[in-house]
Amino acid sequence: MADVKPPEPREPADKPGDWALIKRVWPYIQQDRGWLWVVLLMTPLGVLAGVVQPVLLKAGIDDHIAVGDIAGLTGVALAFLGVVLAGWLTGSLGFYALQRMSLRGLARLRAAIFAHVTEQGARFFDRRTTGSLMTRTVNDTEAVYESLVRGAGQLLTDLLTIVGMLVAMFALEWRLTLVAFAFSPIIWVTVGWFRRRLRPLSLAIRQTLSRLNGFFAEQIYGMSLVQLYGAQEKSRAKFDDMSRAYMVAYHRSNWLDAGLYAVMDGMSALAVGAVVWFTAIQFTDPEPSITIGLLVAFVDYLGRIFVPIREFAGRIAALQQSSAALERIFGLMDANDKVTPGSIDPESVHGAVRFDGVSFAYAADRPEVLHDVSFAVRPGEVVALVGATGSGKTTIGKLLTRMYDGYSGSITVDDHELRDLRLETVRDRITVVHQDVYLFDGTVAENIHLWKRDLTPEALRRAVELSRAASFIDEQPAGLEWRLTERGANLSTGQRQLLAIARAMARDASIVILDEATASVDSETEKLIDEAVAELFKQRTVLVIAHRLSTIQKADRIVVLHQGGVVEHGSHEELMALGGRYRLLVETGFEL
Amino acid sequence: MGIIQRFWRHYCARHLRSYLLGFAFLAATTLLTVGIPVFVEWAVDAMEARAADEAIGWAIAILVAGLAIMVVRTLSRILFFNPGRVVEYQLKSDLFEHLTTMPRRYFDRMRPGEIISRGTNDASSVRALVGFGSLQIFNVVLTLIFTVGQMLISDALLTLLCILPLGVAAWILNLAIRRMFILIRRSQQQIATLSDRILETYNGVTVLNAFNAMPGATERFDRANEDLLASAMGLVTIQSWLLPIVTVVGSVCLVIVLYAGGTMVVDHGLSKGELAAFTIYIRNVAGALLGLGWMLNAVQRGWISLGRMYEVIDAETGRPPCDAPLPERAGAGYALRVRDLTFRHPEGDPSAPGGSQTAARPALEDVSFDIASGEVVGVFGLTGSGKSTLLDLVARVYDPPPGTIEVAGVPLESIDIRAWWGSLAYVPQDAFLFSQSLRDNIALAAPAGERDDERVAAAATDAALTDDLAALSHGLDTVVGERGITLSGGQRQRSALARAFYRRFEVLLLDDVLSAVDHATERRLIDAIYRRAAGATALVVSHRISVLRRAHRILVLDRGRLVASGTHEELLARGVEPYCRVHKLQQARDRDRAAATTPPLTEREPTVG
Repeated sequence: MADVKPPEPREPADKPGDWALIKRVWPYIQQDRGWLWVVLLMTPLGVLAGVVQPVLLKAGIDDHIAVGDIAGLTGVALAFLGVVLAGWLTGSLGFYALQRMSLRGLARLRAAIFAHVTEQGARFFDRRTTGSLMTRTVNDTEAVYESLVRGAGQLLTDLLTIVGMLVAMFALEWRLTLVAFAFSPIIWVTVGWFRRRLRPLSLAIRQTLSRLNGFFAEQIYGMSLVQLYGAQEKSRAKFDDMSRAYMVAYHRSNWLDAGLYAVMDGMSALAVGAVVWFTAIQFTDPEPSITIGLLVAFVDYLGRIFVPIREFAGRIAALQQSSAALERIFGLMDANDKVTPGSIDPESVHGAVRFDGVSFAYAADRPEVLHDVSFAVRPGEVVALVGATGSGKTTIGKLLTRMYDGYSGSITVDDHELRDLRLETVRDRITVVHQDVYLFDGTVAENIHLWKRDLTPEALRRAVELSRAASFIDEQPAGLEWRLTERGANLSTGQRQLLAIARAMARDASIVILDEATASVDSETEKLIDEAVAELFKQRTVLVIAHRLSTIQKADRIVVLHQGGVVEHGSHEELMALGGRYRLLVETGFEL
Repeated sequence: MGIIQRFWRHYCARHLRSYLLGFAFLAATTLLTVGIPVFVEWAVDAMEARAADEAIGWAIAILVAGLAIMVVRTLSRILFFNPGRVVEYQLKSDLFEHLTTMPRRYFDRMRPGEIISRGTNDASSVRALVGFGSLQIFNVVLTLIFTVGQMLISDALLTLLCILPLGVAAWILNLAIRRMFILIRRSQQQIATLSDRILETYNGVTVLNAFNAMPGATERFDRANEDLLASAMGLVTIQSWLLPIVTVVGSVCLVIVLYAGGTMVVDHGLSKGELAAFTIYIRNVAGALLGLGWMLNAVQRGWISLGRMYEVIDAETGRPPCDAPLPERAGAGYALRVRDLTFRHPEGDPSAPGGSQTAARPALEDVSFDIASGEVVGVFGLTGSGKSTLLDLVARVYDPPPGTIEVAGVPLESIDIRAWWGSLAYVPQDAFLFSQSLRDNIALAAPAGERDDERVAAAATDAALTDDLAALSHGLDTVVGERGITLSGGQRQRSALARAFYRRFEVLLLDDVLSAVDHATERRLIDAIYRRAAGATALVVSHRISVLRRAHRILVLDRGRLVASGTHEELLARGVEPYCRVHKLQQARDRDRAAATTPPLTEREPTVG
């Protein structure tokens, strides 16, 4: 089959509005809605505590220190202390609640993506790379979290702080507030200027860095080739160029970055200067309308308000990033290629299989790989499916295990239509011996039982022995607890085949599809495999996607497929006597 | 010489001027920053004394200081940050240069991921140390000295009352940050585990579904997902309760200033201006201490990273000196003599083919053979027989035990390794292409700027790439790899072969380069390989008898041992296994392939049997 995947489908391109996005996120945080109340209650309280503090400072100085009232000052100080502690408690609690809610929501969202993807039929995966699915499940959810931590979560606090303090300042002395922010428009323009220039630069920096890191990684993986072909100098020069480009890009942005930071820093000093200046002017009047306490309170406000203002733009950007990541995630969640589950759950399956006029194409725009295929298998019978590559024999196995939906005609198991049976039943009763066994990071035992809890150790042991996998597992000191590394890189081809048989034998299935391996193995292993296959044939209905004459001869019946249709069927002897397609295949060696 | 001294001498010393100048600007910035509360103090005292004009003067001083801060702070940041970038650049260059000299065994042992992390993440940490870290050190120290000094001048007791709680808060913050980094590292590992679980599940989705094993796989995922959540919650707890500690304590100090300072003002021990100034001092000190917490960690991690980078830079190749020149050519290519070659991949090395199995038995055992110069020798064996290891040893990708391989009578290990590599054209089994143009991939051996495009074209033609090139968007200039077009397995193999054909070589080593090409192309490629191999010594590894049968001689390896050697006909006549069995299977397959391309069954029937 072609190893090039068709272009990935673009997930729905229409951008949902912010409200729609919130509605979609809601189910994941709904369980924690108690914490949402905590956020909504505590955050404003925490902000309020900060807004009140300068007012207390003013009260202490003007109402008590100025008149020498120590007792009153003590009261204000105690109140102040209470406000500080209350601010810590409420602010931290609000922040904690928000983070907790988001983290748990994201963990649920990640689990939902995982569940959504793993429930999909094979068609879904035909059209997507694992890489893009990984990006949605891991990187995008991480991106949402990162941006929440970096800023989006603080947005509410910052916004309330800025608004609250401005209101308080206006209420205390509106003229002084105007004076304090007199420089703001100029600064705003300057900051905008800096940010506009910084944005493309930081994008360029990120790109040069990812190119540089990509190059570095690739060279490390290909270092042997670089050395064998004497390309060390060339690759050093290239690395040097890229590394220098990264440095130069950074030097350029350093100027802007440093400038922006310094302007923000100087801005609060300018505001303080302006406030002191305006107050000083009032003192030319014998009855100044601004008190020292008020001045101190304003200086204190200015020390508090500029950090949230400075961070505000960054937080908005972070929020946009997280909603972009969420949109991509929900785009994937909207894509669906599930196999329709049935509901019939018979108590036992005897193993009669019948294909009746079955036709099938992998996609609507692809040619049919099966047309009008009919054959029947009796319970306990072993039937070999024989045919050249592309004859459709593998597809029959894929339909029977319900990897693909959408066949026409009828496939029945014990007279139940296959698609009406419960999916779990089908998968429990029909099992597969894969040609190339896919191994997981874990022990041999885990790779056989695949985390099925209802499998007893005795049944596992039996499967290992019947499949002859015991031949190499028992040689290992750890036995069944032997860890397979790197997806079974420490197993030979033959050992992998024995494991595949053990995996199928560990299930209590009445129908087995044996996709026979073509890879050559040494003669001892081949003997073991033959024995294991013979065990498999006992008391089960077996469909063999056959490649070897020795296996085919053991079958009760042979179905010969050619270009998607059944052309002959019968026993080995009958078909040889017929002298048709089967005989041709036998005489040319089956090595397909 | 210690790492610190070496680091300073090699990388930092040349930036001394920049650092000194930056330090001067930083000192100016700090002085101006401390100046503002002092000016506020004087202005307030002037207001109290009803000297409004004087107060206006101090207000203007604040404005001027604000403007000046914008300039000097910019300069100080640039003067500190830019050297950091230069140091990072040079350190990375040196690291990379050293890596280009390291043997494969080093990469196997260190794992590519680990090396990549040292060249990227660790380099950033070192840069943070010399840029941001050093700026912050001076910034914090200067701010504390100037501010606390100014506070002490105003009132020692009040200063003490404020500094003590702030110091304790900073210490707690430092602990919290350290704990945070531990949790961050843990959660990074957990993300890696989670990714592995997800990747494994997605790749094995059909298997898991076929075996109804998705609930089990989901449990595995859930466990990893919950572990990650738990660390993240730990992180959040610290972030919400402990990170604000310095700010909270700063506000507590404001209360202290208000109460203790206010009492002093009433007793005439402190002026109202000083009280106002203290409220600003506290903010400055708290800010500096907050920076201190982060800085200490940046410094700590920077040092660790620096050590990790030096570990790579200082790593030895482990090769004894080899500087013998290449032997004189005798006719075509070199004669090779292999004697009692036994080779074992290091134990527990997961990258070794066969993994833990080969740890039990050597990859090659007691292999001896001779190859005359100009001879083309095929190598046959099943998976795990040691074919690839043999080529890796001849190519010195791994170093063979001394005395086991001789080249024209000279021990291989004594020959200058770059000269030896220069005389080889080795195509390893894994057809690795770099993400650059196909042209540059083929001309890998050409020095920069000396690519010979005619040679590239000729090599591509011989490697049967012509038809593929026509189908690619930019022909030879198509960029392959991640961002470019991904080639099929067969196209990759043939591109790697073209890369070898581009070279002038004395010894040609081909490791199973035709496993993914179709039948018709195979015949053309075999012709090209034997034509190109003329005038050189060649070792051609293959599973395919059709490739091997034209060799002068075929070596048959079985589980690391050389079991037979002879021509194709000799091997068949002697019934050497598994050679004969595989030959029979492949013959049958080839016949059937030929049959598949001929007219429909009914018309062909008479010719079959």
